[in-house]
Amino acid sequence: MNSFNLKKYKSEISKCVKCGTCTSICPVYRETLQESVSARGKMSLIEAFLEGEIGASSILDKRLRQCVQCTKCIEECPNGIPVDIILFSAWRALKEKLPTPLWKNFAFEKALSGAGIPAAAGFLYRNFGGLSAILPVEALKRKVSRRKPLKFKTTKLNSGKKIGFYPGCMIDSMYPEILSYVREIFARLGYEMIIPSRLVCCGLPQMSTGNVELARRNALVNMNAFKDAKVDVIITACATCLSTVRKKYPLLLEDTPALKVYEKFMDLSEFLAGEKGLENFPEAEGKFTYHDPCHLARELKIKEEPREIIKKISAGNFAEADSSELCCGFGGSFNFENYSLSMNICSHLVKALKDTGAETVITSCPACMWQIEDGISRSNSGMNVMHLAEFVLRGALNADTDKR
Amino acid sequence: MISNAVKEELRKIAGKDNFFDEIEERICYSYDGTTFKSKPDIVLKPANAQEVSHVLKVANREKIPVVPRGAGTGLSGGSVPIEGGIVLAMNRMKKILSIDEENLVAFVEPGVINEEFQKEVERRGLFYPPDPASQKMCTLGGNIAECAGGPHCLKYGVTRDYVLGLEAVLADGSIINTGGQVMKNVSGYDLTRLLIGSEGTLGVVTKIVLKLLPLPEDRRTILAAFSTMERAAETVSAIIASRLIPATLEFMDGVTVKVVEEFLKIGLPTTADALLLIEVDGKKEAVEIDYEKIMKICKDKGAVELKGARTSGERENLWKARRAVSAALGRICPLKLNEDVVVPRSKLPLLITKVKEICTEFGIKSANYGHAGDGNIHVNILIESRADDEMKKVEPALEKLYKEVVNLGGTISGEHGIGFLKSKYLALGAGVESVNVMRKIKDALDPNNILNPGKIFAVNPSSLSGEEKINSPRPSLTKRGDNSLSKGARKRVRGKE
Repeated sequence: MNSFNLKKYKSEISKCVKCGTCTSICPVYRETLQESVSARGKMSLIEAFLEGEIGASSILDKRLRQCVQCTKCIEECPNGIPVDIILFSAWRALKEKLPTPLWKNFAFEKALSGAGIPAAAGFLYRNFGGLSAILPVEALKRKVSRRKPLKFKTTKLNSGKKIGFYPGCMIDSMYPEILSYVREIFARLGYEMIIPSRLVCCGLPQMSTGNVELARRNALVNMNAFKDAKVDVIITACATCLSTVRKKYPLLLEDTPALKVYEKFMDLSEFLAGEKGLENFPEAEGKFTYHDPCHLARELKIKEEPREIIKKISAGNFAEADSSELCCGFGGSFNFENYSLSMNICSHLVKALKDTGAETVITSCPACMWQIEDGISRSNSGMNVMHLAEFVLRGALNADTDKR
Repeated sequence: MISNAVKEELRKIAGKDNFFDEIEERICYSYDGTTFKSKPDIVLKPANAQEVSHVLKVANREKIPVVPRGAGTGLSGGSVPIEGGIVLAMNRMKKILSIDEENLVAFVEPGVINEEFQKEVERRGLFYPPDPASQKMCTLGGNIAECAGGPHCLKYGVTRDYVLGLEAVLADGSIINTGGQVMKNVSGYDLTRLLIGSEGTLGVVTKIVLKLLPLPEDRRTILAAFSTMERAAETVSAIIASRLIPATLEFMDGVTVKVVEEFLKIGLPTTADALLLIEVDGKKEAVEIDYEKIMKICKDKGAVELKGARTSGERENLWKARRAVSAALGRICPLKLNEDVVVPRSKLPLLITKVKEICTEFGIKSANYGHAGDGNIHVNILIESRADDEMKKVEPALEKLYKEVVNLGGTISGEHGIGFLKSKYLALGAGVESVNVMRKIKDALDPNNILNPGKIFAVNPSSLSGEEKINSPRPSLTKRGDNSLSKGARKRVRGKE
């Protein structure tokens, strides 16, 4: 795959003029103050690696992987260096020399790429959470409050229109209830939700271990599945999946134009913001704030739509946090390998969210949810975290309960 | 090479988590905003003045170079460890110790980020004006080492004008306190000012006492576009001549406008040959009057487009554009030399003409912008390739530029410092006799020349005659085996070969 060939980026890397703008916004740099984790440090390391000055050392591997993939550096870089693509290519090049640790290979490559496996693993994790105490991975010992999935007597408004939905691994494994919320929202708006079988992970975790080939295979499986499903629009409720599909699939599938199904992908908020039917949804009670997932707000510039929806349904009881610049610090495998650093990054966000006085934090990404729930439980700030899909139904659910 | 025993000693001082000697980490402390590279042997991140003092005692005993580093955003190579040794990364010392609102004074550590400090004092209705374009990432310690300026220095003065006192560690490890927290102080020599702009060659600053001002009540920003650079320069002179000192009076030429517009897409007039970014601040009524006067001067001088920033978002965008210029030039050129020559402000139109002439004469390209109001212009020599003949053209062009600037009554560095990029021309900028005094001071305070060696002074000036000094070769950057200066830098440093 030519798009992820590191050597191809030599001239892009040399555009780094070492101005240091990236050090002003990189969450990992700001926490560690270590030059080698900043984008300009990473570019220097990759340059030295390409020139043969350094080899594929474990320090190189560690520093290049200390990235939350928030893409802030790309947004701010005066020379528009595609840091993310360069890093994916570098991780790929390093994988040839340094084998991926077995646990990582199993968890992020094998398991996530098998249809149904994340859901099964998530079921075990959620229902036998006690087991996580014996796991060697600190990140899995997090105390995350579990809400019982809400049961719906699905409203009969179905107009026969069909909408595709791509859940992704995080919803499949950690937050399957989001699936039922989305189905209910669609039903109330008069749509039927189609989820093709055979779907697998979007590919980002595999790209992050450097296995671009496997990510491409997953992209092919997913796009073929939706091609056969014949839907006009495909919704996701995961910011990370959407950014991968929209921004990385064109590169992963550049030689397969027949599979441009990725152009039909939309975020749930983009879709709902244009739906008139949303006005009939009862208002939710409480005070709310919103966390911008990096992959949605920065990479895809989707910031206004979720706010529009929240303002509509919360009767204006919405407080903007002083945190539009803050990343939750999750970053997928970054969190597993740098757990305390990841949680330190999260603590700044939790403080900003808490300062709004809101009881509930809404967000559009299950990965951010998992991280923020952990951050909140560590700070004992007593807020709830809720996916936008659940929030949209909050008022309706309360109204239903009152009627009963 | 530094022996393992000495390394062990240094590791104990800073703690193992703040000591780095792996090649990967050393690579990342080899550069600054000039992109010239030379690796240190060790990177240390001290936590306080005592640790700095211990490190310097060891370094002085062993004669190991020590290079203090803030955020590595400098533009003269000041923090590039050209003779290897120890890089002291000061950014762990990042506490704002206190802000005394009764006396309008702040106590800070050197690793505090300029913009974070500004925001903190502005929250209290106070103002710290020096605002180098790198203010989002540069440190106050670095600002002091290079005596940083910025757009607001036109009206408010440079870093030097806001430093009341310093705590610094000298080459022998002794800790001194200079100045104090009072507004007036003539108790002996002004050691504070001696340290400011000394580029880490005399001591390592570990604590800073800063003077603050009340935050101006109101500010308004004007963007004026002109069809020629000369017209813009005349406008600048006209504004100053009419006894108006705006808070900022910034200038960008056509090349720079196009480059930042490509990056930010905020609707800058890309067909103009020159832009002025003017800001007035102060009491509301006074701001209104000055604003109208400046608008009229711009109109009279033939501005082709003239508009005021209406919202704080618009203002922020204009400033973001201005601050991004230096880095964004990377879009059109892989390597550039960002000069910061300064002339008496009335000579600005003349300087602009001279720059054009020099570019034509030597067949080079330049992009120009900067602080037009105080005569401090960033002439950026664009080096299109690192090829030999390209580099050969640049050196004599730069030398000619410096000589012209000095002839106009100016000097070779307004706010970036000499570093090692301009060390060859120090005598030209400062005068031979002054350089000799500087060298005596350096020798007295740092007899082993361990503090940032190779910076400011190219060679020992007392051994050369005046004319030779100006054309003396630059120091070799390959003295210590492990240094890898980029090809371009080596050529630049060796000069005419």
